[in-house]
Amino acid sequence: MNMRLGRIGKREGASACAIAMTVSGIFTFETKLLYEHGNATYITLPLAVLASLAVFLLIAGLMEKNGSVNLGELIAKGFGGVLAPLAAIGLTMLVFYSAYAPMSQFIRAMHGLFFDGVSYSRIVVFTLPAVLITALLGFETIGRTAKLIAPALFIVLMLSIAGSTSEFEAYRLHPLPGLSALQIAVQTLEEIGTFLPALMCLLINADGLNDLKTAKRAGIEAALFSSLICLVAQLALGLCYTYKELGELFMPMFRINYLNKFEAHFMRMDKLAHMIWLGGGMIAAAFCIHSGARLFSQSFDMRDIRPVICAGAVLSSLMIMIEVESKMSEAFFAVKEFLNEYAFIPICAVPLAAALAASGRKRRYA
Amino acid sequence: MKKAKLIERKRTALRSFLSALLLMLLPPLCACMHPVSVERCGYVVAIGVDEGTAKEYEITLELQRESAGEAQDGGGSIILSCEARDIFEAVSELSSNTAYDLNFTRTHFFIVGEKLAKEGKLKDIMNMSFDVLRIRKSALMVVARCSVRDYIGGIASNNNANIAKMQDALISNVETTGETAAINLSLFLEAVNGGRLDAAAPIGYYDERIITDMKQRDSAEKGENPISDAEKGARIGGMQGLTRGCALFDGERMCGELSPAQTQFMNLVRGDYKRGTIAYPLENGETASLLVFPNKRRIGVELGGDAPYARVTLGLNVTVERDPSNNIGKNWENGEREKLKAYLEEALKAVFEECRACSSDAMGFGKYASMNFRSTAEWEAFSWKNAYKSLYAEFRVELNLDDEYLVRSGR
Repeated sequence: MNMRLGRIGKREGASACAIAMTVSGIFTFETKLLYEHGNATYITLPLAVLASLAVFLLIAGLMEKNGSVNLGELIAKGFGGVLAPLAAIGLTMLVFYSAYAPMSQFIRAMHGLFFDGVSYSRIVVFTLPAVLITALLGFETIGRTAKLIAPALFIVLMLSIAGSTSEFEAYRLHPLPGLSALQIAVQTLEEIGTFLPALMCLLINADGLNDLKTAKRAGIEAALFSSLICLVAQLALGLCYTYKELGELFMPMFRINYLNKFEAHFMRMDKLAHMIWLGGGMIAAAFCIHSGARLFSQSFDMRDIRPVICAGAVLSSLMIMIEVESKMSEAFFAVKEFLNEYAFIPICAVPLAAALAASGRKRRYA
Repeated sequence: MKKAKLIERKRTALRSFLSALLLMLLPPLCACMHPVSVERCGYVVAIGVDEGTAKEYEITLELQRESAGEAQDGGGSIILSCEARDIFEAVSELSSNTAYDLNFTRTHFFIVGEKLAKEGKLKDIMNMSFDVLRIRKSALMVVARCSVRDYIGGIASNNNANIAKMQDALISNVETTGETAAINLSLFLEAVNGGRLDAAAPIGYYDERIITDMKQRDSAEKGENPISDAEKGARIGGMQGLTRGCALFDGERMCGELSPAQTQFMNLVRGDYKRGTIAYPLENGETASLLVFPNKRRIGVELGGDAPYARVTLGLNVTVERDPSNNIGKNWENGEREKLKAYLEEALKAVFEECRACSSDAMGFGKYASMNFRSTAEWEAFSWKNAYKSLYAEFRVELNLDDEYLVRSGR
C-alpha cells in the first residue's frame, strides 16, 4: 500500500482547506460573469462558503451515523460495487477541476502581467513539478506545508489591502446591494461549486486527520476563516473598483496595488504578492490532486496512489494548455462556464445521495 | 520506538520545509528559460500623446537613464519621439532604433495634448490594452497646454533621475495648495466608463525662461552667472514643465478649464484639498491670505423632485495668515465670519456652475446620486449625466477661527 496519507492534526487540515477555499474565492472566478449584474460578491461569497459548510457538516454527520471513515468508503457503501467507481470518477474529475481552476488563473496572470515573452508551456514546465512533487510527498506533507505558508499568504493579502486603503471610496459599492434577492440566492448557489470541493477533500482524507471529528472541526475552522477573508477581500475590491471595472479586470486582486497614487512604497508589491499567492495556488492544487487521486485509487482498489497523482497533475496541466493555447479554447470556455454555474449540483448531490443510500442500507440490514 | 518516531518527525518536518521552498522558489525561475537582463530594458517613465502631422499621433516617451558610473554622472532622462497610428506602432518603431527593450512597468505620467483631449480622442488612445504594455493605471494623467514634446522636455530639463518623486510631489501639491488636480488613469477610465463623476486633470505648461537647477549647476561649473543674466521677472529654479489649474472633462472630452483659484474650491468639495492657503479679496481691493483646514465634508444628492438637488456642507478651520485690513480677526464675531462665509459659498457655487455649464460633473455629485439606488439595473436605467444638467446645488460653509487669540485680544 502506498497511499501517501500519514497523519496530521486539525490545524494542518484546516490550513490546507482554508488555502484552497480562499484561493478559489479570490482568484478563480471569471470576473465577467461574476460582476455581470453588479457587485454583491461580498455577500454571496461568504454565504456560499457557509452554505458549503452546511452541506459538509450534513455529509459528515451522515458519515458518522453509518460509520464511514472517509468519503471513498461512504461512496462504496452507498452506491455498491458497480455505481461507486462511476460516482468516484465524477467526483475525482470535479476535484481535479478545482486543482486546475486556480492554477490556470495564476499561469495566465504570470504570462500576461509578469514574464514578458515567456510562453505558457514554459511557465507550466516550472509550476507543474512543484505541484506534482508536493502532491507525491503526500497528504501529511501538504498539510504541514500549508500550515507553514498560510501565515505568509494572510500577511501578504492584508498588506496588499492595507496598501490600497487610500483609494477606498464607499460610493463604488453602490447601488447597494446591487442584485435582487433572487440573483443573490442564485449566485450563492453557483459559488458553492467552487468552495465545496476543498471541504470534500477533507472528507476524502478524514482518516488522515485521525478521525471524522477532527476533519469536521478542521472544516468548520477553514470555512469560517475563508468566509471572513473572502468578505474582507471582496469588500476591498468593491471599494477600489466599480462593478463595471471589476467585470473587465482579470484577477482584480493583483491590480489593487496598481492603484495607489503614492505608489513608491508598494511599487513592487504586486509581483512579490503574486509569487506568494501562487505558492498558495500550488499547495491548493496539490491538495486537490492528492485528494482526487486518493478517492479514485480507493474506489478502484489501487494499492499505489502515485500513478493517479501523476495523471491528475498532467491532466490539470493539459487543461491549462488546452485553455490557453489550443484551437479548442472556445469549446473549453463553454464547458468551464457550464461547470462554474452547475458544478455545485453533482458535488452536493453525489456525496449526499451516497450518504442517504448508505444510511438506508444500514437501517435495512440492522 | 521513541527514536524511530523522532526520526520520522524530523523527516516529515524536512519534507514540509523542502516542499515549501520548492513552491516558493520554482515559479520565480519561470523566466530563466527566456532571461531578460535588466540592462536590456529601457524604462519608460512618461508617455506623451499629441496630434501628429504625417500620422495621427505623435508619441513621445521619456526613458529613465540608469546611472552607469559615479552618482553625479548618472540619472536623468532620454526622450524618444516619433509619429505613429497608435502607441504599438510607435513602440515598434522606437524599439528598432534603440539598443534596449522598452519597458512600461515604471510609467508614472501619461500626458495628452490639449487638442486631442478637446477632440475627445482619449478613449481611442486608451482603448489600447494597458495590460499588453503592462502600463500601471496608477500613472497620473496631465493635459498639456503646450506641445507634449515641450512639456516632457520641460519636466526632463532638470535631469530628475527619479520621476516617482514628481508623481508624489504633484499629489502633495494638490493636498497643500489645491491649485491643480491629480487623477490617475484608473480613475480617469472609471470616470469615462462609469458615469458617476467626470475627470479633472492637471494642465501642464512649458516655461522656457525658467533657469533650471541643472543649468545653474552647469553654468556655475563654467564660471558663468545665469541668475544675473536672467530676464527680469523670470522664474528661477525648478523644472520648465509646470502644472497649474485643471482641465474639465465631459466623459472623455475636455470641455473646459478651471483657474488655479477655482481649482482650490473644486478640490475642497472633492475632499482632495487637505490644508492650504486661499486668497480672500477684501473690500479695499487688497487680498488677505487665509490658511484653511477642512474639518467636515458632507454631501447629499436627492433625486425625488423635478430636478436633482445637492446639499454640500463644508466645515473649515481658518487661520489668518496675512490681513492688510487687520479687521478679520478683530471683527470675526461682528460680521467678518458671515462675510467670509458668504464669499466662500458664492465662490463654491460659481465653480459648480462653471462645471455644470460644460456638463462636467468634476465635483463628483454622481457618486452620491448613485447612493439613492438599490439595484444596478435601476441605476443604469437612470441617466445621471442628463439629470446633472438640471442639478441645483446648495453650498453651506461652517467656519471656525483657529487662532482664537486674535478674537480675544481684539487684534
